[in-house]
Amino acid sequence: MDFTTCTFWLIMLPSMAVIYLVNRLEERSIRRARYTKSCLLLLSLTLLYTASAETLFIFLFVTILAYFGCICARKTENIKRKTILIFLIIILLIPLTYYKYANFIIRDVIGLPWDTFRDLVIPIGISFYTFQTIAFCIDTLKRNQEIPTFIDYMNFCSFFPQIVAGPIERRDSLLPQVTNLHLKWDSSNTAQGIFYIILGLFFKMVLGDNLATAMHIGYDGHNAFQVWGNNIAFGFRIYFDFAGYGLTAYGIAKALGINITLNFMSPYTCCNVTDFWRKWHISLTTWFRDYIYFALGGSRTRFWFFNIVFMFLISGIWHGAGWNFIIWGTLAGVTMVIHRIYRQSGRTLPSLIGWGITICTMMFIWMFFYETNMSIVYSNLLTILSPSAYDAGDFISLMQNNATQGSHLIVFCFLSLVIILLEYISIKKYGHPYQILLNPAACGCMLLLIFMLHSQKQSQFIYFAF
Amino acid sequence: MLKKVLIYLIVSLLLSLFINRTYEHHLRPDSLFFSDCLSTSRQWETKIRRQGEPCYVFAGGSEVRMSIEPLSMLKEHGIRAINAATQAGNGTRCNIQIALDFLQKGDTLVLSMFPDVTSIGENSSHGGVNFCYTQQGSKMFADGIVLPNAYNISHLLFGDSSCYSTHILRILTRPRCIYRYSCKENARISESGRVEVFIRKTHISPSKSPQEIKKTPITHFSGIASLIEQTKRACHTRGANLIVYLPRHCRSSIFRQTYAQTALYLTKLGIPVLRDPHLGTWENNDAYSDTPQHMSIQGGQVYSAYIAQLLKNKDYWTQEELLHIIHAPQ
Repeated sequence: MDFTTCTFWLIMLPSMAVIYLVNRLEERSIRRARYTKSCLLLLSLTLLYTASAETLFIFLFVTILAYFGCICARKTENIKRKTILIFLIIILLIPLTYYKYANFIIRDVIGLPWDTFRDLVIPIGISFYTFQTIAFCIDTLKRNQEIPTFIDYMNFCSFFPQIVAGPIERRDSLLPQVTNLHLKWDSSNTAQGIFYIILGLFFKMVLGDNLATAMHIGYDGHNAFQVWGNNIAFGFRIYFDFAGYGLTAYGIAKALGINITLNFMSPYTCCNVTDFWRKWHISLTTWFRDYIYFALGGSRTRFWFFNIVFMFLISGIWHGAGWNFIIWGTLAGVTMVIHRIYRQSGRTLPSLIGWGITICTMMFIWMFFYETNMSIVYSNLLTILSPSAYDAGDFISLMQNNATQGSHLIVFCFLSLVIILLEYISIKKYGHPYQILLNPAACGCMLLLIFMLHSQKQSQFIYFAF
Repeated sequence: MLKKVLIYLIVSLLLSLFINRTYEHHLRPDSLFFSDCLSTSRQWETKIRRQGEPCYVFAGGSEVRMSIEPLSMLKEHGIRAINAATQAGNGTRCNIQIALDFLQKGDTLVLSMFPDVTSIGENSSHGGVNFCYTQQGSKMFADGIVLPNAYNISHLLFGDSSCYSTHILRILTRPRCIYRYSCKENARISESGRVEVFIRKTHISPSKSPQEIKKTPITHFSGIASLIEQTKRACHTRGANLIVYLPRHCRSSIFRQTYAQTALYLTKLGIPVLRDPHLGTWENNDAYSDTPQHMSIQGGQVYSAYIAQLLKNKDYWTQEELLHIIHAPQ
């Protein structure tokens, strides 16, 4: 379900037109709601099927199992219910573990030379809908909430704008909206939706894709400028790529009259790492906070630092099966702990210095995220820590030998900084990071830039791999 | 509000079209450089064309533009040749399309093909399509080699970020350079349209590893047959012939097998291939300037004379010869 492909829009737009038409033709409101929900579910499942039949099958397995598991558990007593919930969560995690971690566990952790799981293709969106389903089960059974009708539940799980790469929605926010779904043409919602869609596509197609071509993947040399260039390019790329997806998803949902979570709130304008993680991949961060960090006791225990590091470690593992993700998660947790200790000492840094430290820290940490080969990670780490790798001649040779990459890096990092500055101004002026970009004139400019500056080498959304 | 959004959408699309076309016509360095080359070739053509005397029109990338010297071909062997090549980055299809514009009845299109060429598919590069369109306009649709492929049409409507970012960097770092050379200092266009590069590298290493080349000869691409068929048809409608030559590279003899296999494949398609016994390799560093494809001034003259001789003698490979080379012990 790639928003940048024609296939998606060619399926989605006519289907939506049909749904609106059916909605208008059918006069009785009960039947109208039923038709609308059925059509929406059919559209979501069709779009999932375009990824692969296997993707659809696993999705149906996870969601249907969770639904009937919840029905059975709700009929039982409290203690038994807890056991069933734990059992259910374990079963729900099996497909995710199999596809995502089997190879890593068998080859890297246990050390067995088996190639059976090496070429497994991770079904698109499996981490997202598995987590959304788990959250549904926990919320329903712990708070003893009503089980929705099957069609409402399926629409909640499969709502097509957010199914493959989030946001990971909770039952309290999305379920009531799909339950009371009334598709009505609202030009204000549609216009708002279009603004978000254009902003999302601009982030992805102009900034994300071009920054991807500015990177030298697998670089293993001794030029620190190249390593930092890769880190910076990736740092900006992953933001614009993933926020671009989230904004487009938000826009599509908005046009349908549904509000989903905005996954990013301009994290690169933050002046400390704690704020950064509050505004980065918000739905996942809050998921981990609510179901892992708080479950461990949060900040009220003596071992709050362990809870933070553990939460980020799990977040790293969620992102991928590899030692690099484990190090990335641990480092993110450690930086959070360091910041909290510093904050508890009562000291604060000037905003600009805090921003600089946060940006540098994040750009350094991303190195462990994009490079999966640990020997390259180690070599790059040594390079950026070595003063001799910062020779001015290296910088000149980098620009001369990789002119296209170098020029892309400079031009699109500059453009990224301009956008981040606009987000900062928008926060100060409107209290919302993207408000300044959500008007017809700004969208016209962004459309022009999409037409003129989109990359010839389109890359898949990064988070499709997770 | 919605109306306003739609108006902005249409205005943006039209503005993008206008900016893209203006940039490609008047500002893009590569485009300007090769436009100059082609207009020099046009001037050369008006000088040498005689009624009833056919010409050889060379099509290809910079390996042709920087090596084939029509003046020495005419002087030494009486061969009337036109260098209608541009750069490999434009793609084989676009380079053929450009050269077709020079073809007249009785002429022969001499198409240069790398054994490891990768740009023969239906989809051409952004720069290639736009350069072709700048030169020929809607005439291109008639041949069906580059247009009306939908992907290629999209190149005409939308821009390409790498053009702009490379251009910006070039303005910042090397303002006097056109294309990759400064015309005054590093290269000049000769009277007959050959680009003479003054840069000399003392050691030129092959651009790709032998293993990589061996894996990707053009014979592995199913698109080659349809491309050859379309080119043959376009030549036929102009009353012209088509022959192929596989250019010489400064690289080791390990490539000879790949050369022979490619030549055999083309011969089986019914296309005459010029019989270069060096099998596309020339391990002579002095014959090259700055890349393994671009010949030095002297190297180009020697090579052009050699090609002229082959053309004069109509010296083409036979399938038996090529099979013999392929099956000969290494």
